Amino acid sequence: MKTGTKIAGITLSLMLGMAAFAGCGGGRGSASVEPFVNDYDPNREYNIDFLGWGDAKEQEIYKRIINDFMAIHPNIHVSYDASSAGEYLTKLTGEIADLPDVFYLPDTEFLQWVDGGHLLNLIGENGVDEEKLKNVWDNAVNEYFYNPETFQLGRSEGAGMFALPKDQGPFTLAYNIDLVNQRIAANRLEDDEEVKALFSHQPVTWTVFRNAMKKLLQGAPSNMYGVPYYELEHAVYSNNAEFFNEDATVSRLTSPAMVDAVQFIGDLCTDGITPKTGLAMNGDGADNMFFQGNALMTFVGPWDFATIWDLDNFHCDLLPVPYGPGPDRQYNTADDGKSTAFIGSMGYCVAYKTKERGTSGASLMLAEYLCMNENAQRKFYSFGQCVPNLKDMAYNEYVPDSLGILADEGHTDPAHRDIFIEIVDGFKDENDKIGGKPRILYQTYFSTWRTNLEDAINQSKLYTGEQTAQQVLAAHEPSFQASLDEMSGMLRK
Amino acid sequence: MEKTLVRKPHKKPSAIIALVVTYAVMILLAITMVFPYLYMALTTFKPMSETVSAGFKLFPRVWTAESYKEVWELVPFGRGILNTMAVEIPVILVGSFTSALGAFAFAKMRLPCARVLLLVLMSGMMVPFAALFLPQYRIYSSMKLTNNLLPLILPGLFGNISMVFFLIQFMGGIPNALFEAAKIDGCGYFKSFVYIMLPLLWPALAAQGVFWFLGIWNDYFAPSIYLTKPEAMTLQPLINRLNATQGGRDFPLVMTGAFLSSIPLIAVYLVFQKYFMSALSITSGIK
Amino acid sequence: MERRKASKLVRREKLTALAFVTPLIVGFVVFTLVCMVISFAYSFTNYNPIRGSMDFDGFKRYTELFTHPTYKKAFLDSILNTLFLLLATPLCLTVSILIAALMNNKKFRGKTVFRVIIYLPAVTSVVAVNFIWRYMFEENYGLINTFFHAHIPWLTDNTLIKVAMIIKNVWGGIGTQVILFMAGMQNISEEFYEAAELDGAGPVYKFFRITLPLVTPVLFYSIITSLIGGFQIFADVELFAGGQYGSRTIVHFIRNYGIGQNLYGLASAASFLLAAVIMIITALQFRFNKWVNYTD
Repeated sequence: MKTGTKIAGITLSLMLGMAAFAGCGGGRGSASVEPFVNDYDPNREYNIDFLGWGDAKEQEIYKRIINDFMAIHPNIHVSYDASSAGEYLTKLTGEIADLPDVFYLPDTEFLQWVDGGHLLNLIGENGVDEEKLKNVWDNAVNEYFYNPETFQLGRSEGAGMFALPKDQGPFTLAYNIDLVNQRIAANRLEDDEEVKALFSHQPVTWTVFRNAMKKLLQGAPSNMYGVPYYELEHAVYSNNAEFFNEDATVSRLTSPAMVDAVQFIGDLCTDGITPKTGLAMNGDGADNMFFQGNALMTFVGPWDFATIWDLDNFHCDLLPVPYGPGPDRQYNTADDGKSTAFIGSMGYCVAYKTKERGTSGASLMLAEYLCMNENAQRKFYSFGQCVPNLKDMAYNEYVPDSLGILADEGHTDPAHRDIFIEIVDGFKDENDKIGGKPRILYQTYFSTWRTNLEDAINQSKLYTGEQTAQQVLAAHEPSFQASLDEMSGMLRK
Repeated sequence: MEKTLVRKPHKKPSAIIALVVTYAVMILLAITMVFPYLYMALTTFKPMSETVSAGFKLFPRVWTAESYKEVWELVPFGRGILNTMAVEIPVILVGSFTSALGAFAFAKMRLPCARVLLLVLMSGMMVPFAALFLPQYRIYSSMKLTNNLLPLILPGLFGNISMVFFLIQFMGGIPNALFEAAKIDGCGYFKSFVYIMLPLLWPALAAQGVFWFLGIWNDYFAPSIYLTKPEAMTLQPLINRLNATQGGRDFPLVMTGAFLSSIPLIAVYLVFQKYFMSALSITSGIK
Repeated sequence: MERRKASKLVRREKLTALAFVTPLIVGFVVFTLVCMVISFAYSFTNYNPIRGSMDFDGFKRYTELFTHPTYKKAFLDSILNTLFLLLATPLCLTVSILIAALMNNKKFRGKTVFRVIIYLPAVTSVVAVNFIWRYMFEENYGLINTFFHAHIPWLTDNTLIKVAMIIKNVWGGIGTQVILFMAGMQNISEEFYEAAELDGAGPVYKFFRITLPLVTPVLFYSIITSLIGGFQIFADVELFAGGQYGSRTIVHFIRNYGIGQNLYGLASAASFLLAAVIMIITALQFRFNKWVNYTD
């Protein structure tokens, strides 16, 4: 008996020892905001490892831009590795003990990684060029600030900046121009006020959106819809609603604005504007519906246009997302929602380890070059899958296509590129009607709470109208709150 | 009624019906199996816009070889095949031999605790790979073996437990008497393995070998994480770099990569299939 | 004297046998066991490589799977889904063994063509296969619903998606299994069939009395490996079912709720629970395999 326990004890400690070996050099445990120390010496040779992802074509673009960088700095040699998007984070996690000098990180992963202490603060006397940074989208820059003392994301007193934005992916509605015109003609809606408002490229209310869609879809084939699905974040953000309070510790699921946002998605289903799959429609299914002319609109990001340009006789243009009445459930009051899309984002991070390696300075130079060098940014946008990071380039060059780069390539869609830019540029003042925010997962440690919430909605009877959003969300709230508690425990332990 | 089917030259109508039904089922099944392959092959000749916007169409409206040109430019096929074969050849040759030798000990020799040992060896198949991956990556990474084919080659050299298990089962159908005789002859175990067992094992080795070959050829997850430099990559991660293009929407391009990489597999299969179909007379060996 | 010589021979045989399996054991220990032990140890901790946390937590990860509001429902549903999907195994093996027997029949013409065709699904792009099967099951214009003039929501209903996955997996498994059974049937001596024919036996009799019993060793292999694989089904959930709620399996849970969140402790706990179940089922099958006919 005693020997048994002893053997068990030894085995266990042995196992834990092995596990500790395999886990060693993992997280440093906490982030630090010590100022950036530039260790760059122009007379030294540097080897920088840069890990990203992307398909063969994107890798080619990166190689070219990195070669430009190395031509300017002949003493820095950049070794560029790319894995595929699906395996990227697994690989990065495997390398945690010896991270590459510079690497991509999606904003949705940022909190866990910055909190683990793997990322280097880029602000310091000789750190990132803050003057030049003013020309980069404020939202994008703010996103990568973090204060490890208060666990607060975004710019705040005592916060450090832990990544430079790679690009901003505004995700908004696009409509099939020919199909919409057909529907307008078929239903003689040329002079309909609501339909005209919807396609005015200005934000409309949910009421106008639903009414106009219903009118357009009258007499349409049974497998034609308005939108294949409606993004949850767009409904929530554009109704002045919240999933949870500021520091993601208290659920706001049953607050009136949140309930209305989810009810709006349910109403779209009962109206036949979206299919009864609701939120469950996956990306491919939605794209196919749109490209095959079975949906008037869908949600797109700049990267989707690479496909759209290749299609014959398929033209689409952008619309801002509609907005809701806000917490008081009345339009034309101070708390009305504003047309808010989510913006997908990714950062170029510099590993904390570069401090030991003496490569911090050279790594930052690479990240800065990719993020805000004019030539690099121009090459990225002419490749056609993103909007520029630089404000002046976006407004003066990209929107009017003043250099004719997009026209030369035949990349003239979308005509209202400015809507992408409006979203990325955020809400500048009171009168700004169109803006964007990061995906909600950016604010949380895990993503499972979101999966569970969507499942709860999808598995309910909301889409058939047999249940209301209030009932569905109230039933799910205890589990939701438990998930928030779990995540908050991770951060504040 | 079936009794007459075998021997009488003129068959009963019911037997003929049975045969017709059998053929009908087989042909139907065959169609479902050819169809996806055919679809893949035909899609390689479509322009991208057709696959995105037209729903399901078997034949291209416009035939184009654009995808082949693009694959040729984007994928170093020769390099990929060379790297893949550098994994395949040592692993299949050495690994099949170690597997067969081990299986022989399990099936035809007095191996202590054979059943427990087999179960323990098979336990590796029972834990989801996802849970083993991180420790495995750490170990290879600490030995500086990433961007190197060794993590893909080394484990295979020590055999493949699924193959071992199949060979054990297969050997279960080979009479022990063959080996008893050899023992009396004073023929060593190794010799009786090489000279008696191996020749009889061909149908099983060929079948499992083809699947193992296929498995390595199509292996994507581990290579794509261990290998990030195109020049070090095996074929699948290289082809997968086409997949991410435009969010995976350039269907013809993806299909062209897959179609081209399937051709060597069919060739290998055609070479080996005669082994697992041609009856080797086992019993004639005993007489 | 004789006995001692015999026992010496037995010992030599045992040692030689051990030597023959040494490569297998060494490979297992070095490449698998070490990782298994490490991963098993994770399951008793809160290991998160990004956070760098690794505190001993006892069985907390195991109990969380069944009690924590974030995981409970997803985990239990994934178990039920996985069990449902296991139905594909007996169906696939039955169909495959019949096809193999048929193709092994000398009277069957066109073997060569069928042999090649049977292999095609294995070399067809997974993307193409899934695309076609999704099209077959599509609700509004898919082939199956069009054929039966029905509007069955194959891909969106929580139960029907599993039925669709089973149909697809039976189809997808036939190629491999038929080839293995055909290889197994090579072990059956022609003499058995000739003797049976002389006694006037028909094809049904020959199948049940000769082919089936003599192919049981291969069948045993197929049952065990199919079950081991079936418990770990994952790729179809994403590629074919698009992550549909009713299609999510245990390994899908492990990847999405565990690894995807960097919760390696949780992922390992779920993995080892799964492995334990598979191990017990496999061991039971080994224990009760009297129905398998080995030549003595």
